[in-house]
Amino acid sequence: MELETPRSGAKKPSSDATRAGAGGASAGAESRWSGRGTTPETAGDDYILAKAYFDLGEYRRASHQLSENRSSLGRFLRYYALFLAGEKRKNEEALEVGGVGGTGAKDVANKELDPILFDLPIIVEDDHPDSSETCDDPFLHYLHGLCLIEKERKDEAKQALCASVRGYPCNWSAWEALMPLCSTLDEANALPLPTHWTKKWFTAALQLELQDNRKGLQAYAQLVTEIPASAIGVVQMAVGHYNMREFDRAQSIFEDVYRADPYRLEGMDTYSNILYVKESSAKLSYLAHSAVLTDKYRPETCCIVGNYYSLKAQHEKAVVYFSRALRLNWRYLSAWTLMGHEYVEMKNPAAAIDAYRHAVDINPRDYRAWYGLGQTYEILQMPYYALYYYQRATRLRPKDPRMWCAMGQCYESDQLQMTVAAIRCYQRAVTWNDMEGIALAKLAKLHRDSGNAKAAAHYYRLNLVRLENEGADTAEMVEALLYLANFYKKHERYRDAEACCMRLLDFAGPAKQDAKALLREIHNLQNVAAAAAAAGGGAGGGAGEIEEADPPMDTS
Amino acid sequence: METETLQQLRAVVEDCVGKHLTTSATFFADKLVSLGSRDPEDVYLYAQVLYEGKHYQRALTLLNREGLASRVLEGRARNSGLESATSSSACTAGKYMTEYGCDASDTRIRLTYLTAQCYAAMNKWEECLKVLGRGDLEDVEEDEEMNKKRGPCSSNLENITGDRGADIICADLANGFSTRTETHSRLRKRGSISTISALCLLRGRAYDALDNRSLARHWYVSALKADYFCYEALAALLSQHMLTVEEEQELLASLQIEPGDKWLKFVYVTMGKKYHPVNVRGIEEGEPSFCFKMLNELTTFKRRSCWTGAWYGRDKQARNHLSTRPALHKTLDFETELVALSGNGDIAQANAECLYSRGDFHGCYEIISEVLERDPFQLSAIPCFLSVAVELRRKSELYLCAQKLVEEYPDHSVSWFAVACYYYCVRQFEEARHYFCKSTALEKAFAPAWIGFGHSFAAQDESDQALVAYRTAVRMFPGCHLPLLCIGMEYQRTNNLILAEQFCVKARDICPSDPLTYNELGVLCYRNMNFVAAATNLEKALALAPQVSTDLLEISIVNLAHTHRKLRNFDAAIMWYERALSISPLSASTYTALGFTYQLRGEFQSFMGEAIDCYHKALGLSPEDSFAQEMLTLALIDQCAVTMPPYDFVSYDPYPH
Repeated sequence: MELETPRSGAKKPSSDATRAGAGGASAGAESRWSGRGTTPETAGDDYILAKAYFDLGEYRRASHQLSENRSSLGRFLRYYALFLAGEKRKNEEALEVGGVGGTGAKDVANKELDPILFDLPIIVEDDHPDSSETCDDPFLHYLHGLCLIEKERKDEAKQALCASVRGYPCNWSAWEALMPLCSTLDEANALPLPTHWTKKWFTAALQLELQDNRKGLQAYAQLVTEIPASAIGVVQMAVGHYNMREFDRAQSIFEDVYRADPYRLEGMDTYSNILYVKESSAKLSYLAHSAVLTDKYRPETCCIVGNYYSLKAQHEKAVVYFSRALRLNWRYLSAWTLMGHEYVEMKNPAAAIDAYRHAVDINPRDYRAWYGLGQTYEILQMPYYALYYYQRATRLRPKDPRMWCAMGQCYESDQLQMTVAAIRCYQRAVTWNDMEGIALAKLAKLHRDSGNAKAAAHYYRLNLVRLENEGADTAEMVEALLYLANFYKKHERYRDAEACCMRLLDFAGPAKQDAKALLREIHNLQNVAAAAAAAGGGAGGGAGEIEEADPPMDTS
Repeated sequence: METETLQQLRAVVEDCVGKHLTTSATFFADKLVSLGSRDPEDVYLYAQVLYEGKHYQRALTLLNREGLASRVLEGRARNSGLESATSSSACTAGKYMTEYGCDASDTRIRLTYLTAQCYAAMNKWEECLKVLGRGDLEDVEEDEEMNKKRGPCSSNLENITGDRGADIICADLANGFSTRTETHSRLRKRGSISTISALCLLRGRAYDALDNRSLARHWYVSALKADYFCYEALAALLSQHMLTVEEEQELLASLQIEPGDKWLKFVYVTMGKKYHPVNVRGIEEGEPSFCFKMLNELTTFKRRSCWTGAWYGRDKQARNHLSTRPALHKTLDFETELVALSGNGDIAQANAECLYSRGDFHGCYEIISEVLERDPFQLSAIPCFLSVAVELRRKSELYLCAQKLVEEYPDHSVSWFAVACYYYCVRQFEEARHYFCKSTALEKAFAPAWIGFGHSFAAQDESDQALVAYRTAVRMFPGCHLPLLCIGMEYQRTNNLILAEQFCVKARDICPSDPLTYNELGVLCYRNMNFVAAATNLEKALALAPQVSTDLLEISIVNLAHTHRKLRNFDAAIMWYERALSISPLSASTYTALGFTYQLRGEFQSFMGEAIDCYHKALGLSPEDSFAQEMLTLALIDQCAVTMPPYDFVSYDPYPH
């Protein structure tokens, strides 16, 4: 099963979109392709025989059967079968070398690529009347593109895939293959793509993929109104919300989808991720059971079950399920990432790194995997490595405070000790609304240690506000209050200092004593100041203006 | 006995020979000799029949008994004082002629030839030469000098035979014709092979067997010059690499081929050395490269897909194509033959060899395996098939081929060469060596086995023995560049760069079209820190290499990229590394080198991201690469130093509102 879709979901035409476009190649005007020979009846009897072999998984036999077939379908099946034969052999070899997740699995290659790449351009270019059926054949272009991607010849692959979608815009697989090749939306717009409704779906999907979630959501909202029956669009919207960490909205969409189509598995792994993050184990359990009933051996099912075990802190079992998902589909991205997370939990950094690296090899836009790599290297006390991976993650999600905090931590580490850089990272985190509050506390501490009292006070105050809102009484609060009290005292804001001290008195422990001492001091100072004011004719009041200009940031 | 009956009996004998009824033939020939009162013609026929039946000694005895052979030897003894040894047999022939008259001269020569053949068949080469006359080297040289003095156009006959003895035979033969200055082609009746040529060939074979290779070569050349239909002489010259490319070309050019046989010249040229650059711009096109171009044209239009076997193009198309090319049309007046020949086994083999020599192994394999499918025991094609199968590591095919050959031809060197190739391919070098050795023992002048023998030593780092084997090959096959190149490579491996270069240059001089040689020269220049020269050589290698993605091409590209890196042409280096990766995207060392180039190019400040990516890929493929590990750490530290999160302005407000 998975062999027909060796490039994960990427190869499988997303059923909804394709079905909706069953009208055919409406934008095929630019193509030289005649489109003949595309039905089994015209493709010849040997095609039907070969197709039967193909359906039985006898790829080489199918391919050989079609050696002399010149029809469009026949040619495509011949080379596609050969491609799959190569993939199958490659997977087998990978298993022989190192097993799933083994490091040896990477250096096996599909040995049929060279022959295919040799033949396809000749066939596609051949404008002899005898081979008019396959001249500029969009499906052959598509296959050519796939092979070129495997060979990392990305520019040529782009050309081939563009030619394919121009000839037959309703081949969603070609669009999906094109997606990882475009690193920006502008790059995609510069390609010679057809004006066709599928292009809108492509653009929307690409926006989500590039973490341009807001625009992607808008695009999908539009598309969903155009084709209301399309579950794909709805699920994609949920994914967009999930990417933006709007879990509640995403969850409600998924619940709707589940209700409408309870046996659907596509996209449900994302739903399980949401349930995992929200720790709603009952719902996750229900989802897992229903998925197992639907189809136990689908990568999505395995992933959902894995998430369930992970939430139950049964990490070994979770790993078993994730690796089963990977056996079913070697290029199943989220399973690699999640497996990495499990290995981190199991304190097995080497295995975690390997899993994450597979994930980023499959799709370098998976920020979770980059982030996971960073975390793992941090555990291994290799901050330079960790930093690099966090940089990759922040490049993908520049508005995610978690990444910035993590980066800040790296800069702080003993090996780097780049306080300034750390401060900048934390500031970024604050800018992007750090929910966990790590950044504020860290900023205050870093500024305090580097002697920038005003900045430190600024962040202590903000952190205090945050803590008040959360209603937590913690040591952090004590620290902030104490610092602020001293700061205000020093800057002769006695009333503010006093207020801080009064709040400190509510806490038990040494802080209370310190506060009492401070209060006494403040009273003394207040008295002195009052006396001085009486003597000097009220020359005070300028206490707050001592350090009006910001100290330069980079002095530390 | 009536003449008619005798005639009938002769016809019966001849028919028996034709039907391979050897015993009957012997019986009737014997009776014929008795009945026909020992007519020399009948004796000759009887001897011939005996020879066919492999009764060599009996044939000789017959000839001696009938006083035919003995007279030859007697004559030699009698005349030795007067004439040089070389001409003795011819003199006896002359003497015989005076006895039997001019008509019998032809029979006389044929008798001499048959006697010599019998000795040859019994491996009595000395005797064979005695019958034929020695034709020693001094005589040859003397002769050549004489020819020079006389000028090139003085006499064709001397040129043909280059030997006074044979010369006289020729003269005797020529008596039947009008004058001595008849062209040699007249000596041969149309539809038969000139006897002179056969005599020269036999002499060549005798010297070959006696290990006198220079004389052997001389007589083979003479045989071919005497009659260009004497293919055996050409085959011997080619298979033993006796001639250099230039000599070969000269020889083929000197053949006075009649207009009707032009196709033969094409065949000969294509079967010759494949050392001419094909499809390279800026190189003057001689006739051979033209012929190879033709070959290419023909086969591209009747060519299957390299690997998968789909036919592209048809005969009709090929013919149309040929006729629409005016340049070709002008020179070719044997177009029909050419198109007909394009499917011929020998031509296909030549084409396969041509592809092999240029490193297009897949193309070569496709063609040669098709040749062998049609004729599984076309022995001349088998070394090529085996070599290419080893290159492509097709061990099952090698095993099958070796099994078949050993079963069918257990006494043939090629069979054991095949066995050795199989063992070499599965990296069992000891066994491989054993069988290479066996192959050379069966046929000393079997070049592929000698080279394979060397390879099997080299594969196990036994340089000295490898060099010995290669050197033997160099000595035996002066026209072949491969052993020289192998010596060069072996010296290179053992860091003897000066010697290595000498040998590689020699190899290049012999074969100026092998991309591998240029690659090796490039590597040598690189190691001698002469990067400009290295780049030139490697670019040459790339220009000569086929444009199909092969390992060889990839290696040269990587080398060129290294060279550009050393020359600090980082952009070019990056471009070439990427080309290499597009051929084989799983090469860890290429990724490492590319990363390092990025690092150098950005002066350790920019392009760090690219560098780090490359190192990661390299380490993903081979985690033990310590250079990549080290450089990755450095790159990450540098990256950390050069990247800083950007500064954002924040106005501090420490006071509560």
